[in-house]
Amino acid sequence: MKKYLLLLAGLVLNHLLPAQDFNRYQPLRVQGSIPPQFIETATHKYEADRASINDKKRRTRKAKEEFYLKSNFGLQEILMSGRVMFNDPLTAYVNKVADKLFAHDMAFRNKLKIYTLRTPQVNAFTFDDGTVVVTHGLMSQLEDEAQLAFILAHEAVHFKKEHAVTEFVETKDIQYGRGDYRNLSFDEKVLAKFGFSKDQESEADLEGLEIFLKSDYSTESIVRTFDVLQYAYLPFDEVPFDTTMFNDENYVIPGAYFLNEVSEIKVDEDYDDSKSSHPNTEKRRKALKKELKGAGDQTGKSTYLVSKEEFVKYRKIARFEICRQYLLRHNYPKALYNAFLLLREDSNSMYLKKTVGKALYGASKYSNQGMRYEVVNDWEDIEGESQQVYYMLSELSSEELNILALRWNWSVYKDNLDDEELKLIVEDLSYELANEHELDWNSFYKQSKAEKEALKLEAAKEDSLVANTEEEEENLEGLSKLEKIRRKQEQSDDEDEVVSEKDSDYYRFAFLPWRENEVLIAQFEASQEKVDAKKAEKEAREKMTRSEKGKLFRQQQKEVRLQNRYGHAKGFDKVVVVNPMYQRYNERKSEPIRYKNRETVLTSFNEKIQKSATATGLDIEIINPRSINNNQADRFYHHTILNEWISEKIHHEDGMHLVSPIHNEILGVSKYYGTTNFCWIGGALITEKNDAFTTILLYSYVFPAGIIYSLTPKHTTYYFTITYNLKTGNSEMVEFVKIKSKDHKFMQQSNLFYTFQQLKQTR
Amino acid sequence: MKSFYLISLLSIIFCKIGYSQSPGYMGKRASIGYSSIFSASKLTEEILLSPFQEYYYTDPYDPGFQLLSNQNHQIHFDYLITRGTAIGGYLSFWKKNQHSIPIEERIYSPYYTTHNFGYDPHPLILEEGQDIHGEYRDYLYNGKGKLSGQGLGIYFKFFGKKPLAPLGDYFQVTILVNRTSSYQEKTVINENNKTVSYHKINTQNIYSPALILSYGKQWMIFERVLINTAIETGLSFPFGFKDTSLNPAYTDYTYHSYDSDGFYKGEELTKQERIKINTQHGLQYNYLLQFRLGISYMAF
Repeated sequence: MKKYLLLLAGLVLNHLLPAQDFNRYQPLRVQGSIPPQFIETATHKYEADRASINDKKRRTRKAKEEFYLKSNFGLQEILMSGRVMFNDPLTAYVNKVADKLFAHDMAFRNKLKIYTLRTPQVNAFTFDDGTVVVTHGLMSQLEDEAQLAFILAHEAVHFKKEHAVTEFVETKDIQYGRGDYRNLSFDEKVLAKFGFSKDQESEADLEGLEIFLKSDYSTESIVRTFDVLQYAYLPFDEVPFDTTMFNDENYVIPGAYFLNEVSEIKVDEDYDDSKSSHPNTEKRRKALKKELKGAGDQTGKSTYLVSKEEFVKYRKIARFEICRQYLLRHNYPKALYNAFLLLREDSNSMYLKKTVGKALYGASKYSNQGMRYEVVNDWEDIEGESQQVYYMLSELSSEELNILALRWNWSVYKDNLDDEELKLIVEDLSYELANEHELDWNSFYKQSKAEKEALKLEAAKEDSLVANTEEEEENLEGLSKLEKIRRKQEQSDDEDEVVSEKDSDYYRFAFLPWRENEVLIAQFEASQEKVDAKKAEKEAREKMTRSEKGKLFRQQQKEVRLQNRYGHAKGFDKVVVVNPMYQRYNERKSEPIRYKNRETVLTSFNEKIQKSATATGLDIEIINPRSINNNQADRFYHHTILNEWISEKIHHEDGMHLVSPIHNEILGVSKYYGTTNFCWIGGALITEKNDAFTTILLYSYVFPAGIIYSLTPKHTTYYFTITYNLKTGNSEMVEFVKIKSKDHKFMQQSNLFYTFQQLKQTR
Repeated sequence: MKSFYLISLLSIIFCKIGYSQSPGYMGKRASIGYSSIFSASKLTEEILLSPFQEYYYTDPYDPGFQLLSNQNHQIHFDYLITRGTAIGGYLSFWKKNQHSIPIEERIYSPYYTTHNFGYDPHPLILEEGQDIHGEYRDYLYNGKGKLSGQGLGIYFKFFGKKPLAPLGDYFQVTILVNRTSSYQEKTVINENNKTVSYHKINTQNIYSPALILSYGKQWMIFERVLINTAIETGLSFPFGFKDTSLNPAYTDYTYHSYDSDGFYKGEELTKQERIKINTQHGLQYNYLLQFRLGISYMAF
């Protein structure tokens, strides 16, 4: 009985785990055991790779050593970025496809480590150790499972043939003009480099096809894989944007904000690829078609070996994921258009509705600050149906955009009043409306168009007698010719204004459906009160006497002095330190990044952090992907979210403060650690050649000791720390220190201690 | 009144310390250390030679440039009151003995006797109507100058714009009072080179205030162990006062000056005054350029 129950439970769980409710979509997260590859140090991998080099030529050995050094540390950077996904349903699906593809050679299959990458970019790439990464962007664009299998086969060839290392060594030979590349001009070297790369790509296409043909996948659609890549710059679908998406009976965005016709998609498939790493689409397609002629019988083969349902589902997940990624990259038009495409199928998806709301919010905030161009590309540069979104976001005035954003977000929020991020967005947008555009609750109509018309008709009847009298008064007789012309022009202008007013006041109906909603009214009132209070404070300051101003100024100065002298005094009990980073660069070397001791330096930096925090009595927790063990996937996930959050924040333009698009996710992380205070710490040492080298040498007869000075490299140590309150999104403490000296360990220790002391102490 | 000022000063300092949130080094703010100060001047020799400089040197003595011999030792205590400011105090001390210099001094001696080959520095007190009989004689003796000093200073150290005190470059302002004790020894010897008499003369203490500005760097070599180097310049004020109470009997020797033709011009400074002036000049030269090398321990 127990056995059956377990079996039943297994089946249920198996069914439930990959289930995804798209109406309540939750972003993917890493889970399970962390793969060993993520935990193994780059130094260890590099040493192992280096030991495997057995070339006789010294220059080849050296080039390979350099390659393995850069490759291992580069791969570790990517793995540690938190963007590489493992054990999530999408990655598991891609691995299943690989299992089917390499069913004939599982030994080789097991050498491949396949992951997915959180990025909207359409790409797949391979590392020399067999790591294959497929992006969410690529997954979102593929037509079927066979295309994914073909791409995996292509990438597998890169690994099998060691293309990465071969290309690196060859590029070195080209760069230094060795062997066949002797006496080449710069342009010839560039062409030789790209030519070599294209040869490798062609080899990967053709040999990839051989692997593919050994599988049970059908070749029917694989030629179109190149088209997928060719048109990757476009969204995953081409559907006319629904210009009525935001409208209701009364609130109708004028047609003038939409194009009658969108730009045609123009692609030259046979473009000049001489300076491209890949052959052009036309060439690849032709070469593949030629090979396919001798491919043999395709009967019994299928486009889907895992399942069509799974492919469609996981492609959809990838499409949902890239919406989030576009928001994090401030690419609001793309997020909006992608969400629109997905909403057609999942019209009740809260995730998608919020994506639209967040996209409008971002565009509105930038627009209010006169920086719309930063987040909305020139619509004329856009091809295809998504151009409509770019056009609309470009043409709406800041005021209209602000209203549209608030209207949409409110419509989602009203049914989810406990949603923290929606609450903050609505608050922010309503405040901006009052502050930037001086619009309050009374600025919006409380009557529908029909109600207004009815009232107008009634009023017109009453005024008809008065109007007739006025017309009589408007007797132009007796006026000069010029005065008559002027009067007529004025009348004409008044009529025009009436028309344009009618056109442009559509937005005053924006909140009509909720005209009696107390929460919304209270929100408008609260925003207005905030603005009034701000104005009152400003006015009070303007009315201040000279002595009062002086007193205020002195108080402010005193505060600044206190802060400068005694530092911040935040009084925190607990802080989470996120992904401490430290890097040394030596710009006097051809390879400025000092890879080899990077891990040692980081380990030592972490120890100093812990030691300093202990000395101050501050309770800290360090989230460091480099020092986690394989059962800490939760911590790895937190690291990912925190990295995404901070990256989104710091990439905003100066002066822009927006609610994070992943605010709710970050609140979850904050709750897990029991604190809202998260601190990012890092540093760098840059060693440069002394700038004064030549000058001092010239004048060394005057100042002989200058020779020593000029030969001494210039060291600059940078140290930064930024502490955020995750709940408010505000920075609590920012420190940036530049020291013209080497990064002595005691100096690092001292800086860290001071940071933690300021976070811990009270004044 | 003095105690009122003192209490006020201390309360200001300790109030600051109380409010301050200086991190120090890992919470350690106080350091105790030793520094050695080297001066590039010929300070001590200038002063030591001053009592003998009008006499004929049987063996002219040139001390030359003696950086290492012009060494001043300091024991200091620093306390960080803010992230970039330290207050501190020190005690300094130094001592210098001159090599014995053979001096031949021509002096009019009223009580010269052939069997008394020596020098009696006691002033002659003549009775009324008593004639002075005597003659100029050259006396030989070994002269030796001795000089010792103690200083008491307080200072403020300022550590740059983005300070990490006690580490990094600093600028220091020091106010101090020096007590310079100076005296000379004359050891009169006979023909058998045996000591006939020993005289400690011109003993006096000179008190002089000084202001010193330093620019230096502190760094740590081991946990809590600081190394300190600096370059210093300063000013010794001329309004120092002297304390001649130690041996008044030897203090009123007056220099006489003569013109080029040998005619007597009159009395000038007393020897005490001459030493005082030379001491002050010497200190001034001393403070003109100094180098510091020190070591400290971050105690608490």
